[in-house]
Amino acid sequence: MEWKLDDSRPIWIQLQEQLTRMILTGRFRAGERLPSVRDLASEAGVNPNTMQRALAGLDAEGLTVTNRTAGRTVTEDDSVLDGMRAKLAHELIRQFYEAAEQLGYTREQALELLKRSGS
Amino acid sequence: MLGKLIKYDMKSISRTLIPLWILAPVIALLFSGSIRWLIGATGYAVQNTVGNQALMQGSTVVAGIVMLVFFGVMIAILVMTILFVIQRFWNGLLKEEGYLMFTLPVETWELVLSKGICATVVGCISSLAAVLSCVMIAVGAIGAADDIWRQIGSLIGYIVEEEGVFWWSWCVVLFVVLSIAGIAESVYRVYAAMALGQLFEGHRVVGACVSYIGIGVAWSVISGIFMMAVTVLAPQWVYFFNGENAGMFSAFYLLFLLLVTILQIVVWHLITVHILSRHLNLE
Amino acid sequence: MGEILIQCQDVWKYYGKKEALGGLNFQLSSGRIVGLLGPNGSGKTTLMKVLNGLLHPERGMVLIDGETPGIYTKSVVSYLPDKTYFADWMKVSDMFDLFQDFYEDFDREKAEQMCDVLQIQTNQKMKTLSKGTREKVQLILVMSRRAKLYLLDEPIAGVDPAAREFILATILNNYNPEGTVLISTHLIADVERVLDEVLFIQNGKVVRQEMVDDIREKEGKSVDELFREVFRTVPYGGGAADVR
Repeated sequence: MEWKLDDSRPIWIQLQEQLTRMILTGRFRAGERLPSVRDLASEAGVNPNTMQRALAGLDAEGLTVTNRTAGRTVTEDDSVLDGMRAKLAHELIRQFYEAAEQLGYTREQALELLKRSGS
Repeated sequence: MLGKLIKYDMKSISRTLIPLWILAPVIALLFSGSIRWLIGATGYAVQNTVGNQALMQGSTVVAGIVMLVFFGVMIAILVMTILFVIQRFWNGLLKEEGYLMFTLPVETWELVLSKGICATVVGCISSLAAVLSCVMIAVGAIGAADDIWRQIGSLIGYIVEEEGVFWWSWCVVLFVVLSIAGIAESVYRVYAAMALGQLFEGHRVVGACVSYIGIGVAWSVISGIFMMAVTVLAPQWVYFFNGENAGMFSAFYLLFLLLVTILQIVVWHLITVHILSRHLNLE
Repeated sequence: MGEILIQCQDVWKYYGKKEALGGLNFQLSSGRIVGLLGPNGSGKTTLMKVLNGLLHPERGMVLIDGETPGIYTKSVVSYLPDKTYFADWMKVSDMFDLFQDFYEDFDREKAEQMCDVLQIQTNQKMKTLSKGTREKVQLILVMSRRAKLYLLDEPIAGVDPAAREFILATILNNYNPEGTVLISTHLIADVERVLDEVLFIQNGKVVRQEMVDDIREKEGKSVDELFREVFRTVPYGGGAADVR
């Protein structure tokens, strides 16, 4: 796994984003048990407390479920995963429009550009 | 915890000093043997034959070499013992190793006492090895069957007869204890000097040497004043001694010296511990 | 987690007339990895030595786990000085014996495993080991204790980037999560991601104490960048004290 952390934003947020991506891209599959906080932390070279916070974030989003016996597993509820996928896609689209607007395109023009450059 | 500290301090001795302690009496034995041989050869040489001359010259050379080795070993014991005492304290507490020792969960006085006990034991064994070696040479040179030993024996017998065994046996015990205390005192005086010396940032060694001299001078002045006070204030003490109670007087005098030495040890110890726990200045 | 582990109140320490700590104040909770950051001569090492009992402050209160530095605190503090402290005559295993004898929280098996991984033979004498290996052995000793407080003085100074990674990983993988790790360093960028919290120290005073993520959130910049900003103020060397 590659962990990329930039300097400007809180580390736990970045970790949560990357874990989210790993779950959505199937790196961790539905129902799969995640490695322990300590293992994940040492792999990413970060403080276990920070990793804990990121994982708690995943729990809060419903992407993972913490169970006393099984530990922390990826949710098997597809609607949650789909919802998160949609949320990320919306975020990407929002960023695209924002960038396009900064370049001087209207939303319609931007959409047209997107369609034409497609495939 | 003190016991564990002593264990580690003792461990560090084994490799350097133990060989010398064994070597010294062995060389002394060789030396005394070669003296016997030399004396024997001299006896033959009186007969003045050429062969005996050569034998005598040869044995002189051998005795000379053994003597040189013996003195070499004696000096080595002395130097190594002093070096060991200084080095184990200086390197073990005041340099990098100090970072380890002073962060162990033990009291500073335990660290100092452990070093002090080890150094005193080392000093005692070294002294014993030296004395034993000298006795061996004396026995070898004079011969175990010589009259001198009997004379010494009868002198002791005479003293015991005249004065009673009580006080003189006390004297022997006190003398041994005083010797040990004297070694401990020398050790602790060096410790106090080193503890003071490490306060001199950048001139620690010079500081330690100056402190050692300073401590000696200070002690001489204090004891000089004390002795003067004793002679002035209590003159009858000085005349207490007469031939009849020499044993008792000697015992009391040794006891007095012992108490003074113990006082010195305590003072140097307290100075060392105070400085190291309050003003430790590791490099 | 969360109990107060270190408490320093108005701590003053002088070297002669030079002021090394000038009224230092802070508290640290347990269960954290904390960076002690400051320029050279700001008092980092002095503070470390006060916390582990090597130095006595002239004034002020220092409490570790509720007690002033002494035998108890030394038994719960694991200290990595910025130099190696081995006696020449000792073997690696002698050091293990010593730690086992004096520290109840020393995990010898762990230490031996760590040596195994690094292929350090424990019957080797200290003086035959290279400087880098000696430093590793020292780190292994310090991190094999289940201490309440780890005081690591410049653990990554003067080593190459690969060794830095090894050192940080060793710390992360082995510290007692209920304890606190205090790491002093001026190489902030390298340790930033392992820290929960930072203490900025300057001229013997704590000038800022904050959670790393809070700094990033509020300032939108890394601790390293913030550090450069905070300490950039005296370009002509006028204010920088040069105590150790």
